[in-house]
Amino acid sequence: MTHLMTGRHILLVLLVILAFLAGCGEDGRQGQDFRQGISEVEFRLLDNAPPERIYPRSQFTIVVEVHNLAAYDVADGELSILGLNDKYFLLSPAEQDFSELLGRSLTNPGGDKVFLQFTGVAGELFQNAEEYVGNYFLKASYRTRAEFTDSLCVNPSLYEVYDSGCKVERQKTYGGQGAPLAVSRLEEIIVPGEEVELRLTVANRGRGKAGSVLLSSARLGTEDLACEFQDAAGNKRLAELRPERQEAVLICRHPLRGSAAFMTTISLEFLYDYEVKQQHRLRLVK
Amino acid sequence: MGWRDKLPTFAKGAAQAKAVETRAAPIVGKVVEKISITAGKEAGAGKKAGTKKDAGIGKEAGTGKRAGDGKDAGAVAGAQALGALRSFSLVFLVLGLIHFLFLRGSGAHAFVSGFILLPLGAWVWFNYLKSQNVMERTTGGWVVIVAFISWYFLLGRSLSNLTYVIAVLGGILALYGVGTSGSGLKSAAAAIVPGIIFFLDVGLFSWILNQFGWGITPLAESLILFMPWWALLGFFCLPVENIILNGVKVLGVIYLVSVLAVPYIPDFGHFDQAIPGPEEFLEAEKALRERLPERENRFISNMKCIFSGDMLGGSFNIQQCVEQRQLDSELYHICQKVEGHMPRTKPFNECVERQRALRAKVVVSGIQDPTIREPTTAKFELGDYFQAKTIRRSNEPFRTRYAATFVVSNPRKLDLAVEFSCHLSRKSGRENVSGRISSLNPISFRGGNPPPAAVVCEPESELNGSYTLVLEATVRNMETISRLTRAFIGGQDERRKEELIPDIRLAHFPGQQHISQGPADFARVNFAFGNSLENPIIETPGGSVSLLFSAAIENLGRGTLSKVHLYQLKGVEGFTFDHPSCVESGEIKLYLEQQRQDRIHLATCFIEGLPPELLDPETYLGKEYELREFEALMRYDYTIRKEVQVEEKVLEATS
Repeated sequence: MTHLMTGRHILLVLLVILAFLAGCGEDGRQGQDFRQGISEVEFRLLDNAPPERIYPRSQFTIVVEVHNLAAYDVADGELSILGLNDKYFLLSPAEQDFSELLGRSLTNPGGDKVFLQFTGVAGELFQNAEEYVGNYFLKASYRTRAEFTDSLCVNPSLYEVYDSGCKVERQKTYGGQGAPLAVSRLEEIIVPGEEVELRLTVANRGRGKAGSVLLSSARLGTEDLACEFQDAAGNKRLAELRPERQEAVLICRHPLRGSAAFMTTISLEFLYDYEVKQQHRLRLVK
Repeated sequence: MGWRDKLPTFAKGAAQAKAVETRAAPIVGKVVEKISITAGKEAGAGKKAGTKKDAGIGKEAGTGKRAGDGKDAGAVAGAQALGALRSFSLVFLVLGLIHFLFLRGSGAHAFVSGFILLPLGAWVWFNYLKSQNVMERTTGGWVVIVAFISWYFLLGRSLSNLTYVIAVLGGILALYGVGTSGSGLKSAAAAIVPGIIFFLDVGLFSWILNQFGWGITPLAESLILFMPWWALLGFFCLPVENIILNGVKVLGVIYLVSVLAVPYIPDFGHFDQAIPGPEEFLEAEKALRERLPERENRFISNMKCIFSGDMLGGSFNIQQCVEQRQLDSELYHICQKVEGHMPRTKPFNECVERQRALRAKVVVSGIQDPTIREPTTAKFELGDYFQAKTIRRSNEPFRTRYAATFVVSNPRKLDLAVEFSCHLSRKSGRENVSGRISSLNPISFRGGNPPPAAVVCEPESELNGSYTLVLEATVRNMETISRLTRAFIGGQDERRKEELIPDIRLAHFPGQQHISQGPADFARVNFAFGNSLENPIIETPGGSVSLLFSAAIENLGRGTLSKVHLYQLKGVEGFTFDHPSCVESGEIKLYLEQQRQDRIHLATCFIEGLPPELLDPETYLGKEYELREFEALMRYDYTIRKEVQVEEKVLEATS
């Protein structure tokens, strides 16, 4: 009897745990925030398009699924296939556009998706070769944006003894804002009685390469924030990221007024070019 | 009487041997003493006698330990020398050197290597392993050696016989292993080493190079020309306890280091062939040695460069010095031995300068196309019915004919015409007997797998004695096409180039894909062009074009490139060359010495113009880069040669 009761108790506990597990989880209807983490536009070849083996003088198709998993819309998208030798694989056209793909949001939690098809004709093999392997690149480029918002404490009287009401965090790190380009770090430097300096590291955390990054808007609370990219030439709000160094430092300054500490919101918006390259191959066999 | 009963005798023997040593020759006394002391010690310890740990090494014998008892230095030196000579390893090393210096390449090479040096080498090797306590018994090893010699030389090394031999051998070794609790099988495994040395000595390395069409690297050249394999085994087995033997070992190490270069291991290929005999290996080595230039022994070049006066001051590059000496020796050999000029005469000097100029031209390399697995091949085959030895009476009419088979593989279904010829020559070279091909001649080969053709050679005069039968087949109008890929990026800015170039290299030019490729036919054209020959990515900043182009012919087979009818470059429409010979040429005359060379320079020039779509692919094609493939065609005649030793014995006429 005791043994049976113990068994039932265990079963009951398991059922309760199961109920909790099933019950726990996000309720999409409550407002999922897609603007976190690193997400980007994904490109994927469909199965059998292209086929694993292509025969001489036959037609073949390459179908690419373009899926926007980022939290922001993309525009002016262009997808091209590079590096195929026309003698063996002649594609027409080798380039296609995708105009606008909406990002993930409450009204569009899955993100927009489009399928682009490329048709080609295979040539002849060289002499009595058994096969020819043609490596190529799937290259996509588009324009998109990213936003950064966070609350921070500004204390003009940083070195006073009394409790200011909010605590200044000298340095904060972030895991991404739902895009490949992300503000990864923020440093707050207060010069009491003068200004607050915010140093933000803007970095590419995606699989592609970011090109030009334009700071389109910067605000601290309700006021404009004066920002410039370190080492920027010409337009100080435009950074050209190099392939080997995909990050830039943005320095924002704001004069301090009053002596009381206050919580405020920093919000930035970036517009940038992004490029993704993937390598694939086609195989022409006898 | 068991061995334990003999212990007192052994101990007594040790005392007697000591006495003997003081009176008799040091060698005998020390040998007896050595064995006795060893046996006595082992017996005293309760161990089995005769472990041979110290036998034959002279650990205590002949090292002068006893000399400390008051013998003079001369006797010690004599004991040292005699101790060295006692080592059969040294004797075997000398035999190996004699074989390398005097018998290599001769008719007796295979016989001596297989029937004399192989068993002797096995004996030296087994004794060495026993002295190192690696194994105790040698019976298993001898069983393997005898089985191998029987199968390889006596049973015709056929695969069906191999199965039988392996089955019998396996049974014997299994029983032997059980009887010796497994310890006897070590010697069976050890027998592999002398087997490998045998194959290397008769030309395994050369055969592999020919079979897979691998390039001849400096290492390969050294291994083929300067490696005395059997002597190397003797050298390896030398004991280390004697000054003279130590000195020989040091010299041997210096020689090895001087001869060997940095290893180059080419990709493995695919082959499916019957197991070749020593004649094939030797033939491959002979053919390869004929293709390699005659040069000074690399060891001698190294020594002369190290000890030359230039070492005393300033900067000095030993490798450059060695390469220069090697090249000079090759040129001197050609001008003196081949062209017959007396050294230090004007014609000799002019010849050397002409040869230097030929070699100064750019010679590009190529690789075998990995996707073409069936090249065009052709060869003579001698069947089981080929009569190398014939006998007749002097009053019988001369009716000897030599029949061979010519086998062609023609996967590209080319229209090949093959013309045959033959002759016989004496070993002394003084007498040549011309021959006539009495079978169909010439023969056309069409289709992918044409049937083999019988080739019958009829000597035009009577034979008496030993001759070298030379069969030749000239394949006419053979065509081989090579291809080369290049990527044109136009004039990209630095930032784009930094990103683009590594991607292009990784995707399109991994490994050796930047080099021209062709099938492993008899010969092919190797070619390259670009901002530099090695760089497959072509940049044309600001629209300026100055690209270097070079082409060379590579002889891939063992034969002779007798004629080049045509060379043509394809895919270069819109290109501007500074000399038309780089694009196309008619018949190319080859000098006799060039016909047997590995590589023959064809053309070198500059490309001064490109079509607009390659000059700026972004503007004209909307592409960051354009990938293009170019082809080089060569139409040529190739002569394949086969030499066979034949003998016609003429007996007295019967009454």
